[in-house]
Formats: sequence, structure tokens, C-alpha cells
Amino acid sequence: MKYLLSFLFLTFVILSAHAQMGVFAEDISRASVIDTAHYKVTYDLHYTCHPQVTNKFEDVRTVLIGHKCVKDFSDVIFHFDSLCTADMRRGADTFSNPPGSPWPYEIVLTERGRRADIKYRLPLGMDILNYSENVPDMKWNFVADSVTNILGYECQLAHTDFAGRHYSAWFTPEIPLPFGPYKFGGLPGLILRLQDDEQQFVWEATEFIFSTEPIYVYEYKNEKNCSANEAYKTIARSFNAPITFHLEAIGGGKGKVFIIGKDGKTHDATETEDNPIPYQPLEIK
Amino acid sequence: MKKIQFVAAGILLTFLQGFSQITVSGRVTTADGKSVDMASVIVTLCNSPHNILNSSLTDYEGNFSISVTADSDSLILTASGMEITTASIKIPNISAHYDIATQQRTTELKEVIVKSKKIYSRGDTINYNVSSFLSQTDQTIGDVLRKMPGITVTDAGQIAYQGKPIKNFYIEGLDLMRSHYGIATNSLDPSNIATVQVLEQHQDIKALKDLRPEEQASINLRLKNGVSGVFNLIAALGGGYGDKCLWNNSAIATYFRRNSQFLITYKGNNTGEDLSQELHSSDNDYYRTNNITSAVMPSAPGIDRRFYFFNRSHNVTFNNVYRVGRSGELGINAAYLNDRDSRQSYSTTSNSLPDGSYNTVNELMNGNTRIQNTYGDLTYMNNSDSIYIREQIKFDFSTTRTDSRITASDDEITQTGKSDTYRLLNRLHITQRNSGRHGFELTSLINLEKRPHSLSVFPNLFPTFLSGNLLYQNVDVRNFSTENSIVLLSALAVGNFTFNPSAILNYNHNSLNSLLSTSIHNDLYLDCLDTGFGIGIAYHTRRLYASLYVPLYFRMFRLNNRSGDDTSTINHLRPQPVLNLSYNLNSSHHFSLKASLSYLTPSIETLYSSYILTSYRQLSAYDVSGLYEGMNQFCSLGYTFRNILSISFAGADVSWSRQSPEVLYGSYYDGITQRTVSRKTSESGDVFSAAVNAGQGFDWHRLKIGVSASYSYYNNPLLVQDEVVCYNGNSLGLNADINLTPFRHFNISYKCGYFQSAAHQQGFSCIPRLYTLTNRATIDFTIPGGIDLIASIYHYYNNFNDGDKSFLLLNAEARYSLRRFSFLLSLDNLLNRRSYLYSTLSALTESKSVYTIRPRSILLKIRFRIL
Repeated sequence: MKYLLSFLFLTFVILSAHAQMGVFAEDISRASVIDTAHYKVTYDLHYTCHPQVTNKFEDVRTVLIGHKCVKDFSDVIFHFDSLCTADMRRGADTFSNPPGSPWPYEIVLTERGRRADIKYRLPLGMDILNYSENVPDMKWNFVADSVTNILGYECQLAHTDFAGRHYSAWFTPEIPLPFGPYKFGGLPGLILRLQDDEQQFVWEATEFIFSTEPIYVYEYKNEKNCSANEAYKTIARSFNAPITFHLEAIGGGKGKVFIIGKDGKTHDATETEDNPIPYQPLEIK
Repeated sequence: MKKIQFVAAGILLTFLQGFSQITVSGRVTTADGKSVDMASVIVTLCNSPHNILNSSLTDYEGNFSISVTADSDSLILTASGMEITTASIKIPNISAHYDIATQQRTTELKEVIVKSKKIYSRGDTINYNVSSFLSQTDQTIGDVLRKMPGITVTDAGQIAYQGKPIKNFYIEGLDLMRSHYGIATNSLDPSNIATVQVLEQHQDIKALKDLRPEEQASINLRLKNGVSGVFNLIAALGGGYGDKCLWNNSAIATYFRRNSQFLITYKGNNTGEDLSQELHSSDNDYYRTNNITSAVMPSAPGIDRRFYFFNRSHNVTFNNVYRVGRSGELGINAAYLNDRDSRQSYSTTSNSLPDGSYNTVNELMNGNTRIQNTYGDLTYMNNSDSIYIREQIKFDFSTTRTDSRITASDDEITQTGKSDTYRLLNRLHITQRNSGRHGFELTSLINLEKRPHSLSVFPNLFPTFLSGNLLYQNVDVRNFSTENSIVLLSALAVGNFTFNPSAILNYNHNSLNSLLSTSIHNDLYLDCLDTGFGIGIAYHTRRLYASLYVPLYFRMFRLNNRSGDDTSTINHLRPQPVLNLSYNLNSSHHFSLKASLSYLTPSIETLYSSYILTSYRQLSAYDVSGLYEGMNQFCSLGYTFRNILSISFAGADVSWSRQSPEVLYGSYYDGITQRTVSRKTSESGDVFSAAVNAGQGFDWHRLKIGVSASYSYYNNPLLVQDEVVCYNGNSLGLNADINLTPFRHFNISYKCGYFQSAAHQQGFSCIPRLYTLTNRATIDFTIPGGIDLIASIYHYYNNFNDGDKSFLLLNAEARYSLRRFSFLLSLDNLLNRRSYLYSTLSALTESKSVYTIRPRSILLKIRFRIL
């Protein structure tokens, strides 16, 4: 029913500069196991859509490290997907959606971290973009005599440039796993803290444990296969013209999306001007 | 000199040699010779083993290769991994190949104290510290809320979180304003508020917690310490000039204590601002009676109300809430509205008659309406984990007085209308949760309504039917209704099927008493009973969603015409099924099908048999005695295509509906007068409509182009002059819109629409086609200094209009804030157009109107705090 409603009628308000549209919970009953995790790392992620926006969003990220692949996903989104799937089996027709603004990326690294299969969940129940891309080798510069302690592990600092940003990573040689959040890795130890110079993205590990849980890849209902370039453009559009984008995603036309305007009255979305949400992607170039 | 150069070159060569890059390669193996995959290999200095010079990972065969530049004779090469022991070897600073042997091991992790994992509840609370967002120019909590992430506030004070309107607005956990919280958003002083709490997915009914998700968030304002018991007063003053002095003022007073709160507001203006809107409740309360007779006033044109609303409006609201016990609260909300509205228009209405001729009425109207509305709500709520009880009593009273003078076909007519409405409404909502996920939800409504109203007209335009020169019509309509439903808290699920049973019991009793010119009267009752069970069956797979709702209701109607001593009753067992099918072929193609069957409910307003003067020139009575139910059938098919990657979309909808009314109602025209007539029929009317739309977006300056087209064809029976005529017609609408943002803070939007319609009475030629064209352009930009400027132009063309077929309207607005003052300067109707011409074509009726609109005006409004 949730899906039906999203096609028939959806009311939302003109978004302010600081706003971000939330994502919907999805059915995850269709899944396939691709590996078994040996280690599980949990990170707190604080991020913004644009460095000039001071208010940060929060997410809890889980990184499952298996023998063949590494999966990084939002624990918040996964929690509500699980609830949605269970509620759906019980016959519910409305579902709780993930609160706040969890980072809607789901990344599976394969081929020793050189290949990334990414699913990006567009807001308000729109499509899930499904694309793959190569991960370039990261050239790390180690900082001499840099030591800090995170989660009881002694960490060292290293820097790298990646996709138009300069990053600082604290890694621990005590856990000699060359992985980290997102596509980051290649260091002689697990990355426990990572941030870019503008601090638009800040990850910090809160837990590292052994695991035996399977690593799943979910087949969502509205997956849209595309190239990485198409995905970048589409995600950018969802921020640059959120109302238009949503209108297009449900097939356009009058009487489908209604906007509460600045005058407090309800207008058809086709007759309402759009306001962009400031956006700078993690990978600038 | 040459010797010095030689020595320097030698030193430089030695230096460079010391920092030359070497490549160390090798293989990591375990003691039994197996290669180690994904092992970390690092190179460090001998005297500083923590300073990593470079690192590498082994491949599937355990091979590695590292380039190093170091000023050292020797280096340390270390291999480590989660499943091997760490092994180090000392190597000379030269390129070479080394094998590193390690031992297999099981890694033990350190015992670390981990922060407890966050439990994601279905309803998180986000706290925003107001002082972090507060700036000097913020006057109300609405100004601060606008800056908070995910929160949007409209000018009317409506709040949305993550794009969805909030459900409740609390102050210290109390719902003071209920459905009128916009008044509080635009009134409360932010310096008194410590924290804004966003209660995400807040299920306000505790008994439904974790059972029924709530998509909407709620907002709770936490007050600062010491605010309790402090009185606040904020005012806004506005002045300007049109063809007379203009004013627009308001004042807001608040007083909060821990267990009680109150807020009082006053607003008044003569600038065309409609104050009745903000008093409307969002509870979907509607009146169950209607006016049968009324004084005719010029009908409103289809432009923004502030352009034609010649008003003098005042409203006062009072809102009070008390905490009762641990889980209860008692709220009182009341409001009063006083409104005067003056309207002028000249209109021509032509009706096509069965013989092909036209009945035309010209009316010059000049009228005034005075409205007084009062409402009061008393609400008690007890909200505990196992039971939720909400009991609300509402009282409404409104009185309307209308005086107008009409010149119609050389007749000078004066008319006076009076209408009073009294309503008492009781709402009860009980949610009882038993163990686990089971329980029930009961809603009950009782409505008592009384609507005495009257119309006096001079002179009498119906001398054939009525005696005397002054006509006085008195009507009293009353209603008693009770609407009750009960549903289970959880649906029953079997595989992909879900079943939702429900039961209803609705009963209403209506009465109509009327008296016209001391001799013609009606006295009748209508009782309606709807009771039965319904079941909603849904089937849900990954691509298909199908739902069928089948209410099986016993419907009973009994009409008692006491003046004719006549009683008629009908009983039916009516299924009124609704079918919805939705199929997603893939993420680009979506199909939907809807179908429904429903029956019309007889209304007491079409069952009286003696004349009622429904307007100064219309006399109504319904000849067909007895009760009839019409039937509606509806079916629609839709298809949508979207490709969000190429920003293109398209959609198409076709629908068909058939109405079989059993009784036709129509008019008998005689000069400027008309009588309502009715006749039994087996005819039915059909409407077929189709719509397509398409759009394309571009990344270039966010250019967006959209087009749509709609077409409808109808074929209906119509009762005119006591004859059933068939007429058909069609209409075509074309729309296009373009949006462009050439620069930041500069937006241009343009929309145009073309519409044409035609109607045709069988056996006669078509009524001339109506063509309209509308164009609207808006420019919105911000100039340095933070001044927002908005200019809009509106153009309308109508081929039915006499004389100038085009109409142009130009408006401008500027906004600026300085310290605790905010300024709004608005310039309306800059071209000083004094009248608005519009024409319409509906069925076989064509009308043209000239409506007086507000002249060019300027208004400056300043808002500030007094206490």
C-alpha cells in the first residue's frame, strides 16, 4: 500500500536549504549470500550534504569483512528494512521508515577492494540506483611519530587524496586488515577514524568484533541498473531540483504530488517552483 | 674554484645516493610453505620502528612489492595478518627479494569498552538547542524552526519535517493549539524556548505504540527555566492606501505555566486578507445541513481572493489547556470572527432551451454580507499504555446577513437573506489494546445541527404562483447524526493475502420545515440507516498489489411527508465494491486499474413537494415523490513511464464513469425566473476522459519543460422546460510550463494554459466554442542586503468576453528584516485594473461576468515585540 500511495498522492512541503528528504524502508525478503563475514566493524558517521551546511546528519555504518568481499551499509536503514519485511509478512500496509537522514549508500567491495558494487537509495521511495565502478589505488602518505588511541588500539596517521578531497585516516597496525569505510583501504591496518579536510564526512569506529554472519546482497523492488556516471548525475538532480525530481520519478502529471507553498496553501507540484538542496558529493571528481 | 665545485658535486652525489629509491619484493609464507593472502607488509626504519615508510598487501600467491626511499643503511621489513604471527626481518637498504616466514595463529581481540549500541526505536527524539539557531532578526519560533535541518515552516505557520506535515504541536508536552497550531508558530517568542524536540514517527496514541507506525513527526517546545508565569505580547502594524486607507494589524499574548497554558490572538484588516481560513479546523468537520434558500451574491472569480475581497475582518482566538493527572489533559479552544464583504458584478447567463432558443438573464448586482462565526471546543484526553480515550465536544455558531440590490431585465429587486447555524458535535475515540498486538479501535460521532434561514424579496417575480408583492421564505433544516465504526488493531494475514474486517453503524435523522408567504409550507422527515460489515482483501506480491474492499451494508431510508401525510420506505442490501490493481512491470513502467460501484443517498434537499423560494428568481419543488437511489459506476486505467536517469517521464490515463440517477432534476425558464422541475428517468449519463503528460528536464540551469493535454467527452440527459434533452460536449486542455534558474538567487517561471470547450444539444447546432488562454510569469530574486523581491504578471484571454478580451494583472512584493523588526512592502494591481471579466460554459449554460476588483494599493507592514 505504501508503494501504491507513493504513486497516487504524496504531499510534501517546499524544502529549505538545510533539509534532506528521507528514504523509505524496503522489502529485503529477496537476498543472496555472497560471503561469510569474519569481522564486523561499526562506525559512527557524521556527514553533511554540503560543507557549508553546518548541521550534520548521523548514521551508524556496519562494515562486514569477509574473505571475498567487504560490505559497508547503514545499520539504521537495515534495521527498518528488517522491520518492514517482518511487518509485511504480518499483513501490515504501512511501515516505519528510517528516521533522520542515514547515508543511503550500500557498498560491496570485491576483487580485493578494486571493484565496488554500489546501491544508492533515492529519497521518498524512488528507485534504487545499482551501479559498479573500479576503485583506484590509494597512495597513502604516512605521518611519522603520529600516535593516538582509538578503541584501545594504537593508531597511526596517514593521508591520501581521493576523488577531489584530502583525507586523514587513523589506522591501527594491531588489526592488520587493509580495510575501512566506503571504498577506503590499502593501509597496513584497519581504519578506525577517517575524515576529509572539510569534515563533511567523519567516520569513527565504535566497535570491532569477530563475526560469522553471512554477507547478503539484497534485491530491492525498484532497482535501476545504470552506469556510475548516470548515477552521479541522477543523485545530483535529486538535490538540485527535489520536487521536479520526485514528480518525474512517479511519472509526472498533475494531481499526483501536492506542495504546501510558502503561502500555506496546497499547490499542484507541476505549478510550483523548485528549491535546490545544497549538495557536494563525496567524490567531487 | 674548480676544486670547490668538485667537492660540492661530490657531496650532492653522496646525498642523492643516500635517498635513492629501492624496491623490496618478496613472498610471505607460513611455516608449512603456504602463501599468505592479504597480509600487510610494511617497511620501517631500524631506529624508529613505528614510522612506516611504505606498505603493501600480499596477493593470492603471497607476493608483495614495496618502493622505499630512506636515508638509512638498513631497514626493517615486517609482515602481519589476522591469521599469522607478526614477523620482522632486518634488510639492507638495497633493492632485493626476501621471503618472510610466519606462523599461523588465532588472533585475540582486545577487550574494549564499546559504547552501547543505539536502539532505533520507531519514534526517535531529536533535540535542537534553540540558542544555537537563534539570530537577532528572529521574532517568532517559526523563524528559528526554518533554520533547523529537515524542518520547513510555511507563512501560515504550518510545519513539515522531512517533507511531511507534522501531526501534533506540543508546548511542554501539552497540545494547546490542537489543529490551529499555526497561530502559535507565528506568535511564540523564541527567546523563551530552550529546546525544540522533533519526535520522529511519533505515535501519539500510546496504546498503538510499536503496533501502528506513524509516518508524521510531532514537535514539542521545551520552555526555558524562568519563563513559566511570564506574560508576552507581540504586535504587528500595517498601513497603506488604495482608494481608501488600508490597515492590517495583529496582537498576540501568551502565558505559560507547568500545568496550564494559554494563548490569545487578535487580527484585523481591510486589505483583502481572508481571516476565516486560519480558523478552519483540520479535523475534517463538515456541516451536515445546507442552506436551501439564500440571497444571491456575485459569484467569486477564479483569481486570488485578496484581489476581489473588499473586506473588514476581525478575529480573536483563545486557547487554553490544563494537565489532569498523570496521563490526562483538558483543553479549551474558542474563536470569534467578524467579517464584512462587499461585492459588485454584472453578469449575463444564457441557457439553451429545447426549441433551440436561448433564455438570457442580465443581472447587475451590488451586495454586502456580514458574517459572524464563533466556535468553542472542550477536549479531554487520557492516553495510557493500554487505553486511549479522547472525548471532544464542539460548539459552532455562525450567522450571515446578506443585503443586495439587483437590476435584472429592468426589474429593480432588493433581497435580504439571513442564515443562522447552530451545531453541537461530540467525538469519541477509544483504542483498547489487549495483550500483544490485539485490540480494537472504536470511533463514534454524534452531531446535532439546526439551520434556520430566510429570504425576503421585493418585488414578487412569480405572480402566477404566489400572491403579494413582498415574498418571505422561512426554512428550518435540522439534523441528528451518529456515525460509529469499529476495526481490529491488526489485520489477519494468510500468505500474501491480508484481511481487514470492519463494522459500521450510521444513522441520521433530517427534518425540513418551510413556510412561504404564509400559505405554502413543507414539513418532512428523512431517516437514513447504514449498517453492516465490510472486509478489505489485499493481495501483495513484489510487482502486483491488488485490493478489493467489499462493504455489505443494509441501507434503509424512510421519508415522512407530514404535510401530505405520506410515508415511503426503501430497504436494500447494497454491496459497494472498490477494486484497485497496481502492477510494476519494472522500475520504468507502471500500470494501474481502479473500478468502483456506489449508490447515491437521497437528500432531504431534493424531496420537498411544496414550493420553496430558493433564490429571488428561482422557485423549487420536487414533483417526483418517493425515495430514489442513483447508481455510479467508475473505471479508470493508468500507465506511467519514467526514466530518472534521462530525466524523462510520461503518463496516460483513461477513465469512464456512468451515472444513472433514476430521477432527473432541471429547470423551467420563464423570463428571468426559473422553477425547479423533476422527472423519473431511465436515462444515464456517460463521461469519458483521457489525459496524457510528458516532461523533460535538463541539467542546464535547471531547465524544466513540461506539457500535458486532457480531453473529455460527455453525453448526458438534461431536464429543461419539462423536456428531457440529450446534450453532449467536449473539452480540451493544453498546458505547458517552463522553469529556469539562470543565476543563483534568480528564478524565472512561466506557465501557459489553453482551454476550449463546446456543448451541443441534440438536433441543434453547437453553442459557440469557448476559448481561454492564460499566461503567468514570476520572477523571484534576492538583491544584496538580503532584500527579497518577487514580481508576477498574469494574463488571461477569453473569446466570450465582450470588449477587451484580455486581462493583465501585475504585482510586486519586497521583504526585509532588521534587528527585531521585519518589514513587508506589497504593491498589488500595479496596472490599476478595476474589473475582471470572465466567462464560462457549463452544460448548456453560458455565463459572462464583469467583477469589480480591488484597485492599485500599497501596504507597509511592521512586526515587533511589546512585552
